[in-house]
Amino acid sequence: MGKWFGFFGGLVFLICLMCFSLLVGTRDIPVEMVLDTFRDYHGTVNQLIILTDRLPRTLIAVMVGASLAVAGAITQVIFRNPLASETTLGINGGASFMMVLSLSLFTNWTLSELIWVSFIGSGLTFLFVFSIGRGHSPLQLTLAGTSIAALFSSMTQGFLVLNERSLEQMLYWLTGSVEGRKLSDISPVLPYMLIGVVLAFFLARSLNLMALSEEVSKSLGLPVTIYKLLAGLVVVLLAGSSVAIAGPISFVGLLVPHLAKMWVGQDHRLIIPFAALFGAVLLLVADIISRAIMIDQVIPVGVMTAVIGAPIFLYLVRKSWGQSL
Amino acid sequence: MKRYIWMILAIVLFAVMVISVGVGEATLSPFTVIKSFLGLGSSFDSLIIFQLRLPRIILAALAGMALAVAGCILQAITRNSLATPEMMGISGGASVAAVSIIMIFSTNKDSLSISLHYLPLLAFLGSTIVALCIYLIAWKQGVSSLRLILVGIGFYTLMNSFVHLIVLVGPLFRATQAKTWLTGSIYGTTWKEVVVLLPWLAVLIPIVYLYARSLTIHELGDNTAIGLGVNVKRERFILLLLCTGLTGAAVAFVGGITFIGLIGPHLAKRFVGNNYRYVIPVAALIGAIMVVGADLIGRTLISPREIPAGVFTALVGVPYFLYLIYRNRGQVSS
Repeated sequence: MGKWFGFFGGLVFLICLMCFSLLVGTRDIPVEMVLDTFRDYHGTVNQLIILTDRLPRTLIAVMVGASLAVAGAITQVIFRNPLASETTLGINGGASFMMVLSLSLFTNWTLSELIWVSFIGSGLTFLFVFSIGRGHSPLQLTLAGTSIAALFSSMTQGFLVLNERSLEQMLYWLTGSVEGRKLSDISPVLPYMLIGVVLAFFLARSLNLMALSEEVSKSLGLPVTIYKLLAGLVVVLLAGSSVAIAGPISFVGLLVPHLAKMWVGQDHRLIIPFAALFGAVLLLVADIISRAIMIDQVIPVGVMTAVIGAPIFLYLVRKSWGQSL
Repeated sequence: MKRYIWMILAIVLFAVMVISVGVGEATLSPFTVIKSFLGLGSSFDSLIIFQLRLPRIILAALAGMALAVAGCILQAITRNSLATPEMMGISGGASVAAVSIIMIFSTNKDSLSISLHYLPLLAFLGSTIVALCIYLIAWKQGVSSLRLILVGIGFYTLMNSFVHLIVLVGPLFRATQAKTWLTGSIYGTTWKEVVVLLPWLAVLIPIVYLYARSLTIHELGDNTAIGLGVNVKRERFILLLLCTGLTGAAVAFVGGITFIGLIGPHLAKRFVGNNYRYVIPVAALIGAIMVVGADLIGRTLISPREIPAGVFTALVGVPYFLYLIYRNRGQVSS
């Protein structure tokens, strides 16, 4: 029960953070004017900035952060590997590469079509990693995934260099960013994310079994492979839609599930909501920092998550994984 | 067969280089190329060959050698055949240093305002700092190769994002340059770069070769190595420095060319076994062939535009890597 109080406390914190996020940026906009944007809208410059820049990126950061974190938590169960995540297994990279490929081939496609391309990219990569993943130590699987990710990123780079895309676009598809999206971009993506998160809740009990061991879940009557593929579908939905709207943002899916587990233990019925909450908070904080840190230049949030995430990753390696793997 | 494999590879390398020199805007037949090498070609052909094409190809070959030998060292001291300078973030450290220099010191005319000689030196410094950080963070009553690799992966990502950060903060016209550089490209090389890179290899690779025996023993495990009278800690440190030196020097000029450090040593071991006295030269040749070949494909596939060589090394490298993973299925990581 106390944990759920914690959850609602966190939710309140997240909402406060979202309000704060509307206040941060290159232009100083006082609180009353932010409130006026929603109370009576005139279309002044300040109000436009809030509606077309700060509000969408705040919402996207929250959605994407939550989706990536939940996807990461599920991936870690499917592969029974604490180092697994959409990024480390190349799932995000695959989606991102497919997006870049189709963006240059079909220039008139909109986000509601592109999202399917992203699903295909992440889905194929997932199936591929899933099929080679059996019988490997976590370390080998992680190395394999990292190298698949490296392949995708270098192919993406090659494509972008060929098409003479701008550097901003290049970084967008290599590290991920929540910048430059409109409010109307959210609606094609949101349904898939919601479906993914809801499915994740339904799967939580069987995830608990799968996390124990394959033998245990089989003897308890769980059709493991089917459930794993179902869980994989959730991962693909969440990761694919995140990449479609924000590019391949790293480290959220890897770290947040561990932070959630530190907080609530091993029960996935709790891990999933907490991971979603923590993921949203982490990405939003990263985005706020990336806006606040430099006056004239906005850093893509994907760079920021890596800068925040890598030290935490190193800490976890030193603290626990060194022995448990 | 084993003894002579290096000769075969040397011939292959020479052939690939001759072909690569011949291919381009004006195609020259291999015969013309060799004639020019011997000093019998027309002055026009010689100009194209010696001033425009050869420096780039030689740089590609040298970089390939350096990366492959660096890979040999890393695989031996981590005792993991999947550890490479780039996955461990060591190339990344060099990249961060090199990109910062390109950003800070480049003039409006795409040239550097400081001597080119600083570039490999500072890249070496960058990769060494990262390597030391990895070593220190992985240290916990000794360094396990498992922790070393995990920490390395962390640094790989961190360095990647630093590079992106620096590229982004810098002015845009330099960024175009940095963009091609990120993917690994040997575009626009002159003899100047070759002259700067060559001494590094000429000094470092022979030193590595002197340590060949120690590399072979390292791979057998710490206890065996200590039993055989190797000062493991000291030698591992020296070898790591050699590795960062080679990586830094190569990365300073060719940028993010990946997977050479993985495939070079691996194929070499399949050809000649585990004795590093044979592995090192063979791996170096394979690395050189790969980079020259990737550069050749990148230049010609959709000419006049260029695809960075790094894309092709990754295209060859990843399937090979996955094959290795597949073959080692079911084994506990060691």
